[in-house]
Amino acid sequence: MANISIPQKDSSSTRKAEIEKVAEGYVYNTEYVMPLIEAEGSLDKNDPNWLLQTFRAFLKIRSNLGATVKESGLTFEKELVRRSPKNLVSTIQSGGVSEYYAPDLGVCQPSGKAQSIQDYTDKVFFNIKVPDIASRFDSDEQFGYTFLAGPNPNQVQKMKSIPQAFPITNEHLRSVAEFANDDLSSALNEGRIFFVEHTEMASLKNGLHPQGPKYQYAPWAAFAVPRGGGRLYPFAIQCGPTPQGREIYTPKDGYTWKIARNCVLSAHNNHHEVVTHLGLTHLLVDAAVAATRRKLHVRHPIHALLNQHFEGTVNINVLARTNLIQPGKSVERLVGSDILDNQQYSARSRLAYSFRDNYVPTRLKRFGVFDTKTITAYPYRDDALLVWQAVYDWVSSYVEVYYKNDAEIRADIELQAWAAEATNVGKIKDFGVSPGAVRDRTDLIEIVTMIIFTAGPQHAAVNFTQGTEMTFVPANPLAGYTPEPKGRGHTEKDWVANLPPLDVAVHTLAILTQLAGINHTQLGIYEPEMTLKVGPQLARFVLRLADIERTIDERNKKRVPYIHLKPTRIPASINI
Amino acid sequence: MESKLSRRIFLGSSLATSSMAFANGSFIAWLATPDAEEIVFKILKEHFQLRDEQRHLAKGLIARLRTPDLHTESPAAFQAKLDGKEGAEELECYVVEEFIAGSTYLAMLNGQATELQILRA
Repeated sequence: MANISIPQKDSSSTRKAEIEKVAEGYVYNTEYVMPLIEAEGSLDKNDPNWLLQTFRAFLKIRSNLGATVKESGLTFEKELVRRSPKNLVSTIQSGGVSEYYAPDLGVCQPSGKAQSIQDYTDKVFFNIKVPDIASRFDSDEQFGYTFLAGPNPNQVQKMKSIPQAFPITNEHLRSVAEFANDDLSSALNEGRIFFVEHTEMASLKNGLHPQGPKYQYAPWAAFAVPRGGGRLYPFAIQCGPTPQGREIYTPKDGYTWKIARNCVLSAHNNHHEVVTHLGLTHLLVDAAVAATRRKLHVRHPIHALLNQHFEGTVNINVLARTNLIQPGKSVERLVGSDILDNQQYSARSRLAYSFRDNYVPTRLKRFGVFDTKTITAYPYRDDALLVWQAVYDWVSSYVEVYYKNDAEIRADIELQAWAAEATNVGKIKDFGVSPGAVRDRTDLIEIVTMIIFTAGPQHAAVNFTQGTEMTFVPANPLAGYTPEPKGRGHTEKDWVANLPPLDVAVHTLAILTQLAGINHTQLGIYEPEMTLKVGPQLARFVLRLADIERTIDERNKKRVPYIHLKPTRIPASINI
Repeated sequence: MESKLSRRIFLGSSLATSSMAFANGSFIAWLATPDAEEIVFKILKEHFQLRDEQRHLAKGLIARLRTPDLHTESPAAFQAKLDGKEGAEELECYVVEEFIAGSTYLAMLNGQATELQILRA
């Protein structure tokens, strides 16, 4: 990729035709509410290292499935087809290894209902290690921590006033020993009350498990932070969007509270998969890929920079669109809401998502969680800000090499066409400060930082937590299997009955091990040709990432380790 | 068909002669025996059409398998399978899969490597 340059400094007469040639391979699929790239184009390759990691993940999954069938005592609807050495190589050569190595075994006969929490380890994990969260999941401390370092870690917001739809009181707050002498009104005024809500999910129909109903909820949860700052203490949950016909539960409500926690987690995790993960990383970046491939020459500096951050994205997105999120496929098996409703929810959320309002510092400020004096340890926030700033500074130094002033930005016809495509065709809302155009260097730096952060760190934070936090289903269920609780006095049996059956737990482990098991490419590593003019700038970025790695390692000595934004664990792109 | 049968017999008898090593020192210990190299090479030859001069690939794969962190199935889990009645087939599948997972085979299949090599990590 010699001679990286902006178009006004490129004398080539074929540049425009070359862009159009590449663009022919990147056409939009408009079957859904939002445009998506139809298929892989000339710049999307199958990296053998990715194939290798995928295959290794499959071997682990298959090994565990084999042991599950043999040792769990569960009887599955479908047989695990035995591996035959005769056709193994041809199976692998012809593709479709997923069906072979990580098949859905169907439901358990006569029922997969767990009898105890222990069943979720003893009948599910054999040759895959039980994740650490299994030993600490059943506590309010961990429940609060999930919103700060779990799979969906940027949803918690400061409460400014008590919502009419969620009428929490002093009594609720004082149900937690640490707040026995506190006052809700004072705590609100002091900015110490936080909440998470998923009320929009009330519009989604429930999905179905073949052996019975499953449920999705639209809950509210409230949290308090002690005076002087600290962690999140959950103190109130309402399992539906409005108070009519509902009670608000507190930690004093025993197993009813635990079922209410399940309701919150189910909704939060359904939202994670469908909105935060699929919609706001995969599908958002898809539109950025399309605009880049279709409007920037491969020698354009922004194409050259972003290319590494788009490695494998189209490949995995096409697979997700045509397989994973379709009726009867894996996502439907796992999540609580109807799959077609979920597709719409994902698309709706992606189209409504303001690109500019979600730059990491902006979002954290908007949600009232930027200040470190109240929620003192918020692993996602604390680590994401470090990485965001490092990416921002790297992109700044890169942009300054290629654009000497803001006028050059405005005169770059490819760049302006790129912004117009992302806004008008890709339907990215608020793509920069002047959507449809790039105003100046700062605008470009912010846009590109957001693309890189979303493709790399943000996706890492929401993808790899699937392995550490979600494979042990009681810690992070994706659906409920009994209606939201009414009244009080529920038992341990009721709590376990609300959790997914073991066939879902087995399939969850298989699918999420696959998704979290491929960590391919690394933030800060680029193709050598791209680095020719920016060697010193890139070296500074790499050193900065190494510093951040050390800082996070130090932080992890003082908190439940949060590893997902350690730079060495952040892939450069969404490729799984 | 004749070739398949003879291979089964061969594998069966070889595994039987190796049972002492299994009992005394596990699958990892068995990998260090001359039997292991012979069997692994035969499996690779059959499934990947290796030539005689490519025996180093069997040696390389065995070295890799003797480093537990580098293979996908724990030696203990795998040994449990070997102890079962389908032990010979399990071994054959295992060698095929670990070769794919531990070599440039997929890269070759994908047109991005020209030579079969065992990966170091």
